Amino acid sequence: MSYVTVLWSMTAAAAVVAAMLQGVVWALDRESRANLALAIVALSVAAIVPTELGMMYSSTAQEWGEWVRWCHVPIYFAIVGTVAFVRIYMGTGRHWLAWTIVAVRTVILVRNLAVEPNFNFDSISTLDHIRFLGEEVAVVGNAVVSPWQWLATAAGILFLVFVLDASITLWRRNGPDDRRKALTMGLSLLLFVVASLVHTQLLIWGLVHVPVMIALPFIIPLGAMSFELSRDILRAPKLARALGESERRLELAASAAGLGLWVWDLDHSRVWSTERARALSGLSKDAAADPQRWFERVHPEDAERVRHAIDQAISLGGEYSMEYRICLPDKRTHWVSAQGRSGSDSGGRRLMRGVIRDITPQMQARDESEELRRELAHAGRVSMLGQLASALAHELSQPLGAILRNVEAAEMMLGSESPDLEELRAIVADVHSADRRACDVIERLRALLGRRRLDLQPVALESLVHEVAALVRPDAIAKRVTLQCDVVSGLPRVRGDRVHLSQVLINLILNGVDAVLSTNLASRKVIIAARANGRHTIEVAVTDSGPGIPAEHVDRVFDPFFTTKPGGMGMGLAVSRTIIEAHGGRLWAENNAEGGATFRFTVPVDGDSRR
Amino acid sequence: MTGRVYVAVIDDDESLCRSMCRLLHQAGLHAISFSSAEEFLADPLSSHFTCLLVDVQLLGMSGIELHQRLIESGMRTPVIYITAYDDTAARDEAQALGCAGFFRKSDSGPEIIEAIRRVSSPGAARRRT
Repeated sequence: MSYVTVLWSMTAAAAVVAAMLQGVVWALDRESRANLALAIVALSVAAIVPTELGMMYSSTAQEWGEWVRWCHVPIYFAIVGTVAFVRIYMGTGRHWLAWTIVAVRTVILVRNLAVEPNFNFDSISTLDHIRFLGEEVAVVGNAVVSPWQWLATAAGILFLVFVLDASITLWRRNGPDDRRKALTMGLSLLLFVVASLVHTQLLIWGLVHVPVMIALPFIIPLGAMSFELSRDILRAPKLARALGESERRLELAASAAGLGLWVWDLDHSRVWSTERARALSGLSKDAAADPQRWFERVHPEDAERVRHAIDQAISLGGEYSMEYRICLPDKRTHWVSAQGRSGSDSGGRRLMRGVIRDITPQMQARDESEELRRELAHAGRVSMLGQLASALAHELSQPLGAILRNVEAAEMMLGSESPDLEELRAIVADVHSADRRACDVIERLRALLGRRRLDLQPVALESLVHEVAALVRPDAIAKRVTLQCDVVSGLPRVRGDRVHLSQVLINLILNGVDAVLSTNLASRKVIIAARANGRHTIEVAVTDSGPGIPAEHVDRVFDPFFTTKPGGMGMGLAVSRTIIEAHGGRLWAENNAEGGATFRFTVPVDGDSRR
Repeated sequence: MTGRVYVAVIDDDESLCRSMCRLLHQAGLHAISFSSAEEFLADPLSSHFTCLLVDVQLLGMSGIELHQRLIESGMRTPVIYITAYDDTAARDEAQALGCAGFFRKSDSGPEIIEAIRRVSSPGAARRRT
């Protein structure tokens, strides 16, 4: 057996094995297109081998020319496959260059099949026989090179430029593995192109007497490509281990954070979920596969909101994040927070990936603090009404007194012989209106005494201020304090809770009234003013003509239990501030340049009333 | 003004004032209402009333202050107080000024009328002088 037979056979065998391996990988995973490209290249290299052997063992010039012709077919696929491999695997290489190469090679192939004897020669008259690796082989002797040969040279140069450009781009990108890939691919292809190009050019122009050898140098890039792809295959178990490890870490993090994970395959309408996600939604493993069952668990009051958010995220391809209640099979309800993001996997399936988390304790804590705030606000109102008690007694005794006198007068009239009906009618009307007055006072008291949660509604501040002033005025009058209301008319309505806002106002006014008591009678004055502060807030100010807040107390007046009044609880301003903050506003105090203090608070304008 | 009893009802609450006048009228007394102590003092006939029915709490000058003012100017018209609060301090002050009666707004009308009649009887007038 000769070296030629051994070398060429080994090359073919190696290429076939590589082709089979890569072909199997591609068959198992159709996504791995780089493996397919490599399989095609390897198969083509294997197919070049017999044509080269055929040339070496040709007995006539015609036979030699025939083998050259057939040699072009596998070369075509080998080059096109390599170009594809570079594009797919390296991700670089210019598109237009790639397509130009394919186009030129196609022209060469077509012309090659159309003309005699082949693309490279117009005619081959004789063969020479030389000794090559200890064997006598045929090489081209007298032949006329086709004028088209320059196209083959150009195709070779184009291929070289393409490969160099792709490698340099990859090298510059400098991501993980990029430089290694650029180096192995770039160098091996460069070596091959230079070797085969120079060699075939010299051979065709009759400058050297050697057999055609393309398959042999092609083993270099083929090996490099196989090495690159095998690296990935070899790395797979390691990647799988790392993936398993990362999955376990994720699982630990998810379980530590109480997160349930789920993935909803929108195309196949199936849900994958972790046990935690199923437990949070009260679903068994079988039931959880059906997306519909997840929706059924959502509290009826939240169902529409949740549906809408998810539909929105799916149709717009975005995210959603919301808090809602879930009804468990045992009738318990709990609060969850869920986030989902729509997207697709590498196979193009539309997916919604998400997490779900139990937030019942937070919601309970929120309810409890809301409850506490409510209790405090209520206690504040009760204690305020205590301060107002005598003024309120006066408010009530006026209409009741009027009713009593009217009834007594009526009794006397009815005792006379001819009662004046006209006067009796007037009496009844007066009794009526006095009664209504008493009822109004009681109604206001009841609203202030009731326990209630913050109920934000559009509130007209102007009427609120006047109502509160009416409630506090008897007390102010008793203490010889003038109450003045300076509310800009036509203010937009604010978003607030009438009762809670009244509480804050009463508290600030009573504080103001108390503050001015130390000053002389003539200057005792409390002014309640309201005006717009920008387009989105209304500012209310309660200004007194008292001595002002001592500098060392300015920062502390809002602290709970801070008081300077004998018998004071020190909760009024603290509660007021909580109430205003719950409205999304601010409450603060300042001393006036001209004496006295001003307490100001802001409340947001109601969205629908904004003008 | 002999023979007839003229009562000045001074109260800043209009409906209370009106109902009181109505009652006194039914009892055969002549009642004239004033909404403040200042309005009463400004009336040229203020010194001719038989008796004053005054609210302790008034806007501006209080009932007690009015009484003091009257005493200072030498007027001896009897003063009966009506109050919404049963405030001991006010009651003590009123009694110290020698009021002819101190009633709550919830007290019965006939009792108040009775007190007015007592201070307006010829004998009472004699006792005062």
